[in-house]
Amino acid sequence: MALAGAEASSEEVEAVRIAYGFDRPLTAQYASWLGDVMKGDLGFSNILQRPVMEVVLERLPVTAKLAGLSLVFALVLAIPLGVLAAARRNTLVDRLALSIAVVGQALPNFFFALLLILIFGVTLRWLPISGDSSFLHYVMPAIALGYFSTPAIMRLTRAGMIEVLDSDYIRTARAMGLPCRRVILKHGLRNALIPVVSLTAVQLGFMLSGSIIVESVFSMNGIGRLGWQSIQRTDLEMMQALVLIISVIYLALNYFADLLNGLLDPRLRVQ
Amino acid sequence: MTLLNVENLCIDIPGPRGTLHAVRGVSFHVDKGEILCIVGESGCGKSLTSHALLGLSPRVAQVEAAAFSFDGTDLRRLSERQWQGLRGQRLSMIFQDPMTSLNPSFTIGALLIEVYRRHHPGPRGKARARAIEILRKVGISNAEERLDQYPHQLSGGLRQRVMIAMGLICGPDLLIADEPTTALDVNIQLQILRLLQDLKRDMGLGMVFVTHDLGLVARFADRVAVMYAGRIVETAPVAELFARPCHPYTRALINCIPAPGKTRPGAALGAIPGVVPSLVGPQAGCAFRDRCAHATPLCQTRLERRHDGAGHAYECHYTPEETAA
Repeated sequence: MALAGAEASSEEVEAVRIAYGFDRPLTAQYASWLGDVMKGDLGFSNILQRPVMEVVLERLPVTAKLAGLSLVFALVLAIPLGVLAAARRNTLVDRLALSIAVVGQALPNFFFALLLILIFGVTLRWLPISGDSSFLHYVMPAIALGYFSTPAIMRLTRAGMIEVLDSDYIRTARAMGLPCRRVILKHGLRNALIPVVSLTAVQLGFMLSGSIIVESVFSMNGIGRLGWQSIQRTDLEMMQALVLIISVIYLALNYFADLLNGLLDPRLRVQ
Repeated sequence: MTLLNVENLCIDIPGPRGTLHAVRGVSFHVDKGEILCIVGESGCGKSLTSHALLGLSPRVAQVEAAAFSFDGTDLRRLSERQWQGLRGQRLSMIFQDPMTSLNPSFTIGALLIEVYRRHHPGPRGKARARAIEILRKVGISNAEERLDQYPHQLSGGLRQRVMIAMGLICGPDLLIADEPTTALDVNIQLQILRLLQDLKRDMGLGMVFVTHDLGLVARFADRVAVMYAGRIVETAPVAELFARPCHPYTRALINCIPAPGKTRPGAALGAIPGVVPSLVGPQAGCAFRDRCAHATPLCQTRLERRHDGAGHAYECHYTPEETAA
Protein backbone atom coordinates (compact mmCIF):
# COMPACT_ATOMS: atom_id res chain seq x y z
CA MET A 1 0.00 0.00 0.00
CA ALA A 2 2.68 2.45 1.07
CA LEU A 3 4.79 1.77 -2.01
CA ALA A 4 1.94 1.90 -4.49
CA GLY A 5 0.53 5.11 -3.03
CA ALA A 6 -2.79 5.95 -1.42
CA GLU A 7 -4.55 6.57 -4.75
CA ALA A 8 -3.54 3.25 -6.31
CA SER A 9 -6.15 0.93 -7.73
CA SER A 10 -6.34 -2.65 -6.52
CA GLU A 11 -4.66 -3.86 -9.75
CA GLU A 12 -1.70 -1.56 -9.17
CA VAL A 13 -1.40 -2.71 -5.55
CA GLU A 14 -1.47 -6.32 -6.75
CA ALA A 15 1.25 -5.59 -9.30
CA VAL A 16 3.48 -4.04 -6.60
CA ARG A 17 2.88 -7.04 -4.36
CA ILE A 18 4.05 -9.41 -7.07
CA ALA A 19 7.01 -7.22 -8.08
CA TYR A 20 8.40 -7.16 -4.52
CA GLY A 21 7.52 -10.77 -3.80
CA PHE A 22 4.95 -9.92 -1.11
CA ASP A 23 2.58 -12.48 -2.61
CA ARG A 24 4.84 -15.34 -1.57
CA PRO A 25 4.16 -17.12 1.76
CA LEU A 26 5.77 -15.40 4.76
CA THR A 27 8.00 -18.42 5.46
CA ALA A 28 9.35 -18.31 1.92
CA GLN A 29 10.02 -14.57 2.20
CA TYR A 30 11.80 -15.12 5.50
CA ALA A 31 13.87 -18.01 4.12
CA SER A 32 15.10 -15.99 1.17
CA TRP A 33 15.92 -13.03 3.45
CA LEU A 34 17.85 -15.34 5.78
CA GLY A 35 19.71 -16.80 2.81
CA ASP A 36 20.71 -13.30 1.69
CA VAL A 37 21.85 -12.40 5.22
CA MET A 38 24.14 -15.44 5.23
CA LYS A 39 25.69 -14.09 2.06
CA GLY A 40 26.21 -10.72 3.76
CA ASP A 41 23.28 -8.99 2.04
CA LEU A 42 20.94 -7.32 4.50
CA GLY A 43 18.38 -6.49 1.83
CA PHE A 44 17.19 -3.44 -0.03
CA SER A 45 15.08 -0.71 1.47
CA ASN A 46 12.21 -0.13 -0.91
CA ILE A 47 11.28 3.07 0.88
CA LEU A 48 14.74 4.69 0.72
CA GLN A 49 15.62 2.90 -2.54
CA ARG A 50 19.06 2.12 -1.13
CA PRO A 51 20.76 -1.05 0.14
CA VAL A 52 20.09 -1.48 3.90
CA MET A 53 23.76 -2.18 4.63
CA GLU A 54 24.83 1.12 3.13
CA VAL A 55 22.38 3.12 5.24
CA VAL A 56 23.24 1.24 8.43
CA LEU A 57 26.99 1.69 7.98
CA GLU A 58 26.41 5.38 7.49
CA ARG A 59 24.45 5.66 10.75
CA LEU A 60 26.28 3.16 12.96
CA PRO A 61 29.32 5.36 13.86
CA VAL A 62 27.04 8.01 15.38
CA THR A 63 25.37 5.48 17.66
CA ALA A 64 28.65 3.76 18.49
CA LYS A 65 30.19 7.08 19.51
CA LEU A 66 27.09 8.02 21.51
CA ALA A 67 26.91 4.65 23.30
CA GLY A 68 30.65 4.68 23.98
CA LEU A 69 30.57 8.16 25.47
CA SER A 70 27.45 7.34 27.47
CA LEU A 71 29.15 4.26 28.84
CA VAL A 72 32.24 6.23 29.82
CA PHE A 73 30.04 8.82 31.50
CA ALA A 74 28.04 6.15 33.33
CA LEU A 75 31.12 4.26 34.55
CA VAL A 76 33.06 7.36 35.55
CA LEU A 77 30.11 8.50 37.63
CA ALA A 78 28.84 5.16 38.91
CA ILE A 79 31.94 3.25 39.96
CA PRO A 80 33.62 5.89 42.14
CA LEU A 81 30.24 6.74 43.68
CA GLY A 82 29.54 3.06 44.35
CA VAL A 83 32.97 2.52 45.91
CA LEU A 84 32.66 5.65 48.00
CA ALA A 85 29.16 4.71 49.15
CA ALA A 86 30.36 1.25 50.16
CA ALA A 87 33.47 2.50 51.95
CA ARG A 88 31.49 5.17 53.79
CA ARG A 89 28.44 3.02 54.35
CA ASN A 90 25.45 4.69 56.07
CA THR A 91 27.03 8.13 56.07
CA LEU A 92 26.02 11.30 54.30
CA VAL A 93 28.15 10.32 51.29
CA ASP A 94 26.27 7.05 50.99
CA ARG A 95 22.90 8.77 51.18
CA LEU A 96 23.93 11.36 48.62
CA ALA A 97 25.03 8.64 46.20
CA LEU A 98 21.79 6.79 46.81
CA SER A 99 19.70 9.86 46.07
CA ILE A 100 21.59 10.40 42.81
CA ALA A 101 20.70 6.83 41.95
CA VAL A 102 17.04 7.21 42.87
CA VAL A 103 16.68 10.35 40.78
CA GLY A 104 18.37 8.63 37.86
CA GLN A 105 16.09 5.67 38.07
CA ALA A 106 12.97 7.80 38.41
CA LEU A 107 13.65 10.22 35.56
CA PRO A 108 12.67 8.95 32.11
CA ASN A 109 15.53 9.76 29.75
CA PHE A 110 13.46 11.75 27.26
CA PHE A 111 12.43 14.04 30.11
CA PHE A 112 15.99 14.31 31.40
CA ALA A 113 17.13 15.05 27.86
CA LEU A 114 14.61 17.86 27.53
CA LEU A 115 15.68 19.21 30.92
CA LEU A 116 19.30 19.29 29.77
CA ILE A 117 18.32 21.04 26.55
CA LEU A 118 16.38 23.62 28.51
CA ILE A 119 19.23 24.35 30.94
CA PHE A 120 22.44 23.99 28.95
CA GLY A 121 21.07 24.54 25.46
CA VAL A 122 18.41 27.20 25.75
CA THR A 123 19.10 29.09 28.97
CA LEU A 124 22.89 28.92 29.30
CA ARG A 125 23.58 28.35 25.58
CA TRP A 126 26.68 26.29 26.38
CA LEU A 127 25.97 23.32 24.19
CA PRO A 128 24.36 22.70 20.79
CA ILE A 129 20.97 21.04 21.11
CA SER A 130 20.61 19.18 17.85
CA GLY A 131 22.71 17.31 15.33
CA ASP A 132 25.86 15.19 15.45
CA SER A 133 28.49 17.20 13.63
CA SER A 134 30.94 17.92 16.48
CA PHE A 135 32.05 16.41 19.78
CA LEU A 136 30.10 19.06 21.66
CA HIS A 137 26.93 17.76 20.04
CA TYR A 138 27.50 14.47 21.82
CA VAL A 139 27.90 15.83 25.33
CA MET A 140 24.26 16.25 26.30
CA PRO A 141 22.98 13.09 24.59
CA ALA A 142 25.73 11.05 26.24
CA ILE A 143 24.85 12.45 29.64
CA ALA A 144 21.14 11.84 29.08
CA LEU A 145 21.73 8.28 27.93
CA GLY A 146 24.52 7.46 30.37
CA TYR A 147 22.76 8.82 33.43
CA PHE A 148 20.02 6.28 32.92
CA SER A 149 22.53 3.44 33.36
CA THR A 150 24.33 5.04 36.28
CA PRO A 151 21.99 3.96 39.10
CA ALA A 152 22.07 0.25 38.27
CA ILE A 153 25.85 0.18 37.90
CA MET A 154 26.36 2.26 41.01
CA ARG A 155 24.12 0.14 43.17
CA LEU A 156 25.71 -3.07 42.00
CA THR A 157 29.18 -1.63 42.61
CA ARG A 158 28.11 -0.58 46.08
CA ALA A 159 26.52 -3.94 46.89
CA GLY A 160 29.50 -5.82 45.48
CA MET A 161 31.98 -3.66 47.38
CA ILE A 162 30.09 -4.05 50.65
CA GLU A 163 30.13 -7.81 50.26
CA VAL A 164 33.78 -7.88 49.26
CA LEU A 165 34.89 -5.47 52.00
CA ASP A 166 33.34 -7.80 54.58
CA SER A 167 35.16 -10.80 53.15
CA ASP A 168 37.92 -12.72 54.85
CA TYR A 169 40.58 -11.83 52.29
CA ILE A 170 40.04 -8.12 52.84
CA ARG A 171 40.54 -8.74 56.55
CA THR A 172 43.73 -10.60 55.62
CA ALA A 173 44.95 -7.69 53.52
CA ARG A 174 44.31 -5.31 56.42
CA ALA A 175 45.98 -7.68 58.89
CA MET A 176 49.10 -7.61 56.72
CA GLY A 177 49.31 -3.84 57.10
CA LEU A 178 48.31 -2.84 53.57
CA PRO A 179 47.06 0.77 53.42
CA CYS A 180 43.28 1.31 53.33
CA ARG A 181 43.16 2.78 49.87
CA ARG A 182 45.14 -0.09 48.40
CA VAL A 183 42.95 -2.63 50.18
CA ILE A 184 39.78 -1.06 48.82
CA LEU A 185 40.91 -0.28 45.29
CA LYS A 186 43.21 -3.19 44.54
CA HIS A 187 41.93 -6.08 46.61
CA GLY A 188 38.32 -5.02 46.87
CA LEU A 189 37.32 -3.34 43.63
CA ARG A 190 38.81 -5.97 41.40
CA ASN A 191 36.57 -8.64 42.88
CA ALA A 192 33.54 -6.38 43.17
CA LEU A 193 33.77 -5.45 39.49
CA ILE A 194 33.06 -8.96 38.22
CA PRO A 195 29.25 -8.70 38.38
CA VAL A 196 29.47 -5.06 37.28
CA VAL A 197 31.10 -6.07 33.99
CA SER A 198 28.20 -8.37 33.12
CA LEU A 199 25.68 -5.72 34.07
CA THR A 200 27.49 -3.12 32.00
CA ALA A 201 27.16 -5.30 28.93
CA VAL A 202 23.41 -5.48 29.51
CA GLN A 203 23.30 -1.72 30.12
CA LEU A 204 25.07 -1.11 26.83
CA GLY A 205 22.28 -3.11 25.23
CA PHE A 206 19.76 -0.83 26.92
CA MET A 207 21.72 2.15 25.63
CA LEU A 208 21.16 0.91 22.09
CA SER A 209 17.41 0.92 22.67
CA GLY A 210 17.62 4.14 24.70
CA SER A 211 19.36 5.70 21.74
CA ILE A 212 16.06 5.49 19.83
CA ILE A 213 14.66 8.17 22.14
CA VAL A 214 17.78 10.20 22.79
CA GLU A 215 18.81 10.34 19.14
CA SER A 216 15.32 11.43 18.21
CA VAL A 217 15.26 14.15 20.87
CA PHE A 218 18.67 15.49 19.79
CA SER A 219 18.12 14.84 16.05
CA MET A 220 21.21 12.68 15.72
CA ASN A 221 21.44 10.44 12.72
CA GLY A 222 22.26 7.17 14.44
CA ILE A 223 20.65 3.79 14.09
CA GLY A 224 18.28 4.51 16.97
CA ARG A 225 16.68 7.36 15.10
CA LEU A 226 16.88 5.32 11.91
CA GLY A 227 14.84 2.62 13.62
CA TRP A 228 12.24 5.12 14.76
CA GLN A 229 12.01 6.64 11.29
CA SER A 230 11.78 3.20 9.72
CA ILE A 231 8.85 2.27 11.93
CA GLN A 232 7.07 5.47 10.92
CA ARG A 233 7.82 4.80 7.24
CA THR A 234 6.85 1.09 7.55
CA ASP A 235 10.29 0.27 6.15
CA LEU A 236 10.12 -3.46 6.86
CA GLU A 237 13.50 -4.41 5.34
CA MET A 238 15.30 -1.77 7.40
CA MET A 239 13.59 -2.79 10.64
CA GLN A 240 14.35 -6.44 10.07
CA ALA A 241 18.03 -5.67 9.54
CA LEU A 242 18.20 -3.34 12.56
CA VAL A 243 16.67 -5.93 14.88
CA LEU A 244 19.23 -8.44 13.65
CA ILE A 245 22.15 -6.03 14.05
CA ILE A 246 21.12 -4.96 17.55
CA SER A 247 20.77 -8.61 18.58
CA VAL A 248 24.20 -9.45 17.22
CA ILE A 249 25.76 -6.45 18.99
CA TYR A 250 24.04 -7.50 22.21
CA LEU A 251 25.40 -11.04 21.97
CA ALA A 252 28.86 -9.77 21.11
CA LEU A 253 28.83 -7.47 24.15
CA ASN A 254 27.90 -10.30 26.48
CA TYR A 255 30.60 -12.50 25.02
CA PHE A 256 33.10 -9.71 25.48
CA ALA A 257 31.96 -9.26 29.09
CA ASP A 258 32.59 -12.94 29.75
CA LEU A 259 36.09 -12.63 28.31
CA LEU A 260 36.77 -9.60 30.49
CA ASN A 261 35.55 -11.45 33.58
CA GLY A 262 37.94 -14.26 32.73
CA LEU A 263 40.74 -11.70 32.91
CA LEU A 264 39.52 -10.35 36.23
CA ASP A 265 38.77 -13.65 37.95
CA PRO A 266 41.23 -16.48 37.40
CA ARG A 267 38.67 -19.03 38.63
CA LEU A 268 36.53 -18.35 35.56
CA ARG A 269 39.32 -19.19 33.14
CA VAL A 270 38.95 -22.44 31.31
CA GLN A 271 42.09 -24.49 31.42
CA MET B 1 60.61 -10.83 78.19
CA THR B 2 57.04 -9.64 77.88
CA LEU B 3 56.12 -9.00 74.27
CA LEU B 4 52.44 -8.24 74.57
CA ASN B 5 50.69 -6.98 77.66
CA VAL B 6 46.95 -6.55 77.90
CA GLU B 7 45.19 -5.36 81.02
CA ASN B 8 41.48 -5.09 81.53
CA LEU B 9 40.53 -5.12 77.85
CA CYS B 10 36.83 -4.36 77.33
CA ILE B 11 34.98 -4.49 74.03
CA ASP B 12 31.44 -3.13 73.95
CA ILE B 13 29.18 -3.26 70.92
CA PRO B 14 26.18 -0.92 71.10
CA GLY B 15 23.00 -2.46 69.75
CA PRO B 16 19.29 -1.68 69.51
CA ARG B 17 18.47 -3.86 72.55
CA GLY B 18 21.30 -2.54 74.72
CA THR B 19 25.07 -2.68 74.73
CA LEU B 20 26.66 -6.07 74.16
CA HIS B 21 29.52 -6.49 76.61
CA ALA B 22 31.38 -8.96 74.42
CA VAL B 23 34.73 -8.79 76.20
CA ARG B 24 34.60 -7.76 79.86
CA GLY B 25 37.98 -7.02 81.34
CA VAL B 26 40.46 -9.47 79.90
CA SER B 27 44.10 -9.41 81.03
CA PHE B 28 46.97 -11.50 79.75
CA HIS B 29 50.53 -11.28 78.54
CA VAL B 30 52.66 -13.14 76.03
CA ASP B 31 56.39 -13.62 76.32
CA LYS B 32 58.86 -13.97 73.49
CA GLY B 33 58.88 -17.51 72.15
CA GLU B 34 55.78 -18.48 74.08
CA ILE B 35 52.49 -19.91 72.90
CA LEU B 36 49.47 -18.60 74.76
CA CYS B 37 46.28 -20.48 73.90
CA ILE B 38 43.00 -18.70 74.40
CA VAL B 39 40.34 -21.38 74.57
CA GLY B 40 36.60 -20.99 74.77
CA GLU B 41 33.35 -21.83 73.05
CA SER B 42 31.76 -19.88 70.19
CA GLY B 43 30.69 -16.41 71.20
CA CYS B 44 32.90 -16.14 74.29
CA GLY B 45 34.74 -13.17 72.78
CA LYS B 46 37.99 -14.91 71.87
CA SER B 47 37.92 -13.88 68.21
CA LEU B 48 37.00 -10.29 69.06
CA THR B 49 39.89 -10.25 71.52
CA SER B 50 42.34 -11.58 68.93
CA HIS B 51 41.21 -9.06 66.31
CA ALA B 52 41.55 -6.23 68.82
CA LEU B 53 45.21 -7.22 69.27
CA LEU B 54 45.82 -6.03 65.70
CA GLY B 55 43.51 -3.05 65.90
CA LEU B 56 41.10 -4.79 63.56
CA SER B 57 37.99 -4.43 65.70
CA PRO B 58 34.70 -3.80 63.90
CA ARG B 59 34.08 -0.09 63.45
CA VAL B 60 31.07 -0.10 65.79
CA ALA B 61 33.00 -1.74 68.63
CA GLN B 62 34.23 0.38 71.55
CA VAL B 63 37.58 -0.95 72.70
CA GLU B 64 39.12 0.10 76.00
CA ALA B 65 42.00 -1.20 78.08
CA ALA B 66 43.89 -0.18 81.21
CA ALA B 67 47.11 -1.24 79.49
CA PHE B 68 47.71 -2.47 75.97
CA SER B 69 51.30 -2.55 74.88
CA PHE B 70 53.49 -4.42 72.46
CA ASP B 71 57.24 -4.46 73.05
CA GLY B 72 57.05 -1.19 74.98
CA THR B 73 54.78 0.59 72.47
CA ASP B 74 51.43 1.73 73.81
CA LEU B 75 49.03 0.40 71.21
CA ARG B 76 46.16 2.53 72.49
CA ARG B 77 47.84 5.67 71.17
CA LEU B 78 48.56 4.41 67.66
CA SER B 79 47.07 6.17 64.66
CA GLU B 80 45.67 4.02 61.85
CA ARG B 81 48.81 4.74 59.82
CA GLN B 82 51.06 3.57 62.66
CA TRP B 83 48.95 0.44 63.05
CA GLN B 84 49.45 -0.29 59.36
CA GLY B 85 53.19 -0.09 59.77
CA LEU B 86 53.05 -2.58 62.62
CA ARG B 87 50.63 -5.07 61.14
CA GLY B 88 52.20 -7.75 59.01
CA GLN B 89 55.60 -6.45 60.02
CA ARG B 90 56.08 -7.05 63.74
CA LEU B 91 52.58 -8.22 64.63
CA SER B 92 50.92 -10.60 62.26
CA MET B 93 47.81 -12.68 62.03
CA ILE B 94 46.57 -15.85 60.39
CA PHE B 95 42.94 -16.82 60.06
CA GLN B 96 40.54 -19.67 60.35
CA ASP B 97 39.44 -20.39 56.82
CA PRO B 98 42.23 -20.64 54.27
CA MET B 99 39.60 -21.10 51.54
CA THR B 100 38.27 -17.57 51.92
CA SER B 101 41.18 -15.73 53.53
CA LEU B 102 43.32 -15.47 50.39
CA ASN B 103 42.27 -13.08 47.64
CA PRO B 104 41.14 -15.30 44.73
CA SER B 105 42.18 -12.79 42.07
CA PHE B 106 45.90 -12.73 42.73
CA THR B 107 48.65 -15.31 42.48
CA ILE B 108 50.38 -16.57 45.60
CA GLY B 109 53.49 -14.71 44.48
CA ALA B 110 51.66 -11.42 43.98
CA LEU B 111 50.11 -11.67 47.46
CA LEU B 112 53.37 -12.51 49.22
CA ILE B 113 55.46 -9.97 47.33
CA GLU B 114 52.94 -7.22 47.99
CA VAL B 115 53.08 -7.78 51.75
CA TYR B 116 56.88 -7.92 51.80
CA ARG B 117 57.33 -4.80 49.70
CA ARG B 118 54.77 -2.94 51.79
CA HIS B 119 57.14 -3.19 54.74
CA HIS B 120 60.46 -3.48 52.90
CA PRO B 121 60.36 -1.20 49.86
CA GLY B 122 62.86 -2.43 47.33
CA PRO B 123 63.32 -4.36 44.11
CA ARG B 124 60.76 -6.99 43.13
CA GLY B 125 63.44 -9.60 42.69
CA LYS B 126 64.48 -9.39 46.30
CA ALA B 127 60.89 -9.71 47.50
CA ARG B 128 60.41 -12.66 45.18
CA ALA B 129 63.46 -14.40 46.57
CA ARG B 130 62.15 -13.81 50.09
CA ALA B 131 58.73 -15.23 49.06
CA ILE B 132 60.38 -18.41 47.78
CA GLU B 133 62.44 -18.68 50.94
CA ILE B 134 59.42 -18.33 53.24
CA LEU B 135 57.34 -20.79 51.18
CA ARG B 136 60.13 -23.36 51.58
CA LYS B 137 60.26 -22.58 55.27
CA VAL B 138 56.58 -23.40 55.72
CA GLY B 139 57.16 -26.71 53.99
CA ILE B 140 55.92 -26.01 50.48
CA SER B 141 57.75 -27.95 47.78
CA ASN B 142 58.29 -26.45 44.28
CA ALA B 143 57.98 -23.03 45.88
CA GLU B 144 58.95 -21.30 42.67
CA GLU B 145 56.11 -22.85 40.68
CA ARG B 146 53.62 -22.15 43.45
CA LEU B 147 54.29 -18.41 43.13
CA ASP B 148 52.46 -18.37 39.82
CA GLN B 149 49.47 -20.35 41.05
CA TYR B 150 46.18 -18.95 42.27
CA PRO B 151 44.73 -19.83 45.68
CA HIS B 152 41.93 -21.93 44.13
CA GLN B 153 44.53 -24.21 42.57
CA LEU B 154 45.86 -25.26 45.99
CA SER B 155 44.50 -27.65 48.61
CA GLY B 156 43.25 -26.42 51.99
CA GLY B 157 46.41 -27.46 53.81
CA LEU B 158 48.62 -25.75 51.25
CA ARG B 159 46.54 -22.61 51.39
CA GLN B 160 46.91 -22.47 55.16
CA ARG B 161 50.67 -22.84 54.70
CA VAL B 162 50.57 -19.94 52.24
CA MET B 163 48.58 -17.94 54.80
CA ILE B 164 51.24 -18.69 57.42
CA ALA B 165 53.98 -17.75 54.95
CA MET B 166 52.20 -14.45 54.36
CA GLY B 167 51.98 -13.85 58.11
CA LEU B 168 55.66 -14.60 58.60
CA ILE B 169 57.25 -13.13 55.47
CA CYS B 170 58.38 -9.99 57.30
CA GLY B 171 59.65 -11.96 60.31
CA PRO B 172 57.21 -10.74 62.98
CA ASP B 173 57.76 -11.06 66.73
CA LEU B 174 54.20 -12.02 67.51
CA LEU B 175 51.78 -14.12 65.52
CA ILE B 176 48.08 -14.13 66.33
CA ALA B 177 46.39 -17.27 65.07
CA ASP B 178 42.60 -17.26 65.04
CA GLU B 179 41.58 -20.94 64.91
CA PRO B 180 43.99 -21.65 62.04
CA THR B 181 43.35 -25.39 62.07
CA THR B 182 39.58 -25.48 62.58
CA ALA B 183 38.73 -25.72 58.88
CA LEU B 184 41.30 -28.44 58.16
CA ASP B 185 41.02 -32.19 58.47
CA VAL B 186 42.78 -33.90 61.33
CA ASN B 187 46.07 -35.02 59.82
CA ILE B 188 46.58 -31.68 58.03
CA GLN B 189 45.75 -30.04 61.36
CA LEU B 190 48.59 -31.94 62.98
CA GLN B 191 51.04 -30.97 60.23
CA ILE B 192 50.15 -27.29 60.61
CA LEU B 193 50.54 -27.44 64.40
CA ARG B 194 53.97 -29.07 64.08
CA LEU B 195 54.94 -26.42 61.55
CA LEU B 196 53.88 -23.61 63.89
CA GLN B 197 55.80 -25.20 66.75
CA ASP B 198 58.95 -25.49 64.60
CA LEU B 199 58.58 -21.89 63.47
CA LYS B 200 58.14 -20.74 67.04
CA ARG B 201 61.37 -22.48 67.99
CA ASP B 202 63.36 -21.32 64.94
CA MET B 203 62.18 -17.73 64.89
CA GLY B 204 61.61 -17.15 68.61
CA LEU B 205 58.06 -16.24 67.73
CA GLY B 206 55.50 -15.38 70.39
CA MET B 207 52.06 -16.67 69.58
CA VAL B 208 48.49 -16.10 70.65
CA PHE B 209 46.60 -19.15 69.49
CA VAL B 210 42.83 -18.95 69.63
CA THR B 211 40.90 -22.20 69.56
CA HIS B 212 37.86 -24.03 70.90
CA ASP B 213 39.68 -27.36 70.88
CA LEU B 214 40.97 -28.19 74.34
CA GLY B 215 42.58 -31.42 73.11
CA LEU B 216 44.74 -29.37 70.77
CA VAL B 217 45.63 -26.98 73.59
CA ALA B 218 47.02 -29.83 75.67
CA ARG B 219 49.53 -30.73 72.97
CA PHE B 220 50.42 -27.29 71.75
CA ALA B 221 50.24 -24.53 74.35
CA ASP B 222 52.77 -23.21 76.83
CA ARG B 223 50.14 -21.32 78.75
CA VAL B 224 46.36 -21.41 78.57
CA ALA B 225 43.68 -18.80 79.16
CA VAL B 226 40.16 -20.19 79.40
CA MET B 227 37.56 -17.70 78.28
CA TYR B 228 33.89 -17.77 79.17
CA ALA B 229 31.28 -15.12 78.38
CA GLY B 230 33.81 -12.37 77.75
CA ARG B 231 36.13 -13.05 80.68
CA ILE B 232 39.22 -15.14 81.26
CA VAL B 233 37.95 -17.42 84.02
CA GLU B 234 41.17 -19.34 84.49
CA THR B 235 44.74 -19.06 83.33
CA ALA B 236 47.66 -21.40 84.02
CA PRO B 237 50.66 -23.13 82.45
CA VAL B 238 49.33 -25.98 80.33
CA ALA B 239 50.43 -28.93 82.49
CA GLU B 240 49.15 -27.23 85.63
CA LEU B 241 45.79 -26.48 84.05
CA PHE B 242 45.13 -30.06 83.04
CA ALA B 243 46.52 -31.47 86.28
CA ARG B 244 44.66 -29.10 88.57
CA PRO B 245 41.78 -27.30 86.85
CA CYS B 246 40.27 -24.94 89.42
CA HIS B 247 37.33 -23.22 87.78
CA PRO B 248 34.16 -25.33 87.50
CA TYR B 249 33.89 -24.32 83.83
CA THR B 250 37.42 -25.50 83.02
CA ARG B 251 36.72 -28.80 84.72
CA ALA B 252 33.46 -29.20 82.83
CA LEU B 253 35.31 -28.49 79.56
CA ILE B 254 38.02 -31.03 80.30
CA ASN B 255 35.39 -33.62 81.15
CA CYS B 256 33.83 -33.08 77.74
CA ILE B 257 36.94 -34.30 75.87
CA PRO B 258 36.33 -37.89 74.81
CA ALA B 259 39.45 -39.86 75.68
CA PRO B 260 40.24 -43.09 73.81
CA GLY B 261 40.27 -45.96 76.30
CA LYS B 262 38.50 -43.95 78.99
CA THR B 263 35.27 -43.02 77.29
CA ARG B 264 33.14 -46.10 76.70
CA PRO B 265 32.07 -46.58 73.08
CA GLY B 266 28.44 -45.64 72.69
CA ALA B 267 28.38 -43.61 75.91
CA ALA B 268 26.77 -40.18 75.69
CA LEU B 269 29.32 -37.47 74.92
CA GLY B 270 29.92 -35.04 77.76
CA ALA B 271 28.14 -31.70 77.57
CA ILE B 272 27.73 -28.76 79.93
CA PRO B 273 24.05 -28.28 80.83
CA GLY B 274 22.44 -24.94 80.10
CA VAL B 275 23.39 -22.20 77.63
CA VAL B 276 25.79 -19.27 77.55
CA PRO B 277 24.14 -16.22 79.19
CA SER B 278 23.25 -13.11 77.20
CA LEU B 279 25.89 -10.41 77.48
CA VAL B 280 23.52 -7.61 76.52
CA GLY B 281 23.00 -5.09 79.30
CA PRO B 282 24.75 -4.69 82.67
CA GLN B 283 26.51 -7.77 84.00
CA ALA B 284 27.23 -8.78 87.59
CA GLY B 285 28.69 -11.75 89.40
CA CYS B 286 29.94 -14.94 87.83
CA ALA B 287 28.66 -15.57 84.29
CA PHE B 288 28.88 -19.32 84.75
CA ARG B 289 26.62 -19.47 87.83
CA ASP B 290 23.49 -20.63 85.97
CA ARG B 291 25.30 -23.68 84.64
CA CYS B 292 27.34 -24.38 87.75
CA ALA B 293 26.32 -27.08 90.24
CA HIS B 294 28.06 -25.26 93.09
CA ALA B 295 26.64 -21.77 92.64
CA THR B 296 25.49 -19.88 95.75
CA PRO B 297 23.75 -16.49 96.11
CA LEU B 298 27.20 -14.95 96.46
CA CYS B 299 27.96 -15.86 92.83
CA GLN B 300 25.14 -13.58 91.61
CA THR B 301 26.68 -10.39 92.85
CA ARG B 302 30.43 -10.67 93.16
CA LEU B 303 33.46 -12.08 91.41
CA GLU B 304 36.57 -13.17 93.18
CA ARG B 305 39.95 -13.67 91.58
CA ARG B 306 42.31 -16.15 93.25
CA HIS B 307 45.88 -16.86 92.27
CA ASP B 308 48.59 -19.08 93.61
CA GLY B 309 51.50 -16.78 92.81
CA ALA B 310 52.96 -19.24 90.30
CA GLY B 311 50.94 -18.12 87.31
CA HIS B 312 47.78 -20.04 88.04
CA ALA B 313 44.75 -17.80 88.52
CA TYR B 314 41.02 -18.37 88.44
CA GLU B 315 37.80 -16.52 89.13
CA CYS B 316 35.70 -18.36 91.67
CA HIS B 317 34.71 -17.80 95.31
CA TYR B 318 35.42 -21.38 96.13
CA THR B 319 38.55 -23.50 96.10
CA PRO B 320 38.72 -26.55 93.85
CA GLU B 321 38.33 -28.72 96.92
CA GLU B 322 35.06 -26.97 97.78
CA THR B 323 33.69 -27.32 94.26
CA ALA B 324 34.97 -30.84 93.58
CA ALA B 325 32.11 -32.84 92.16
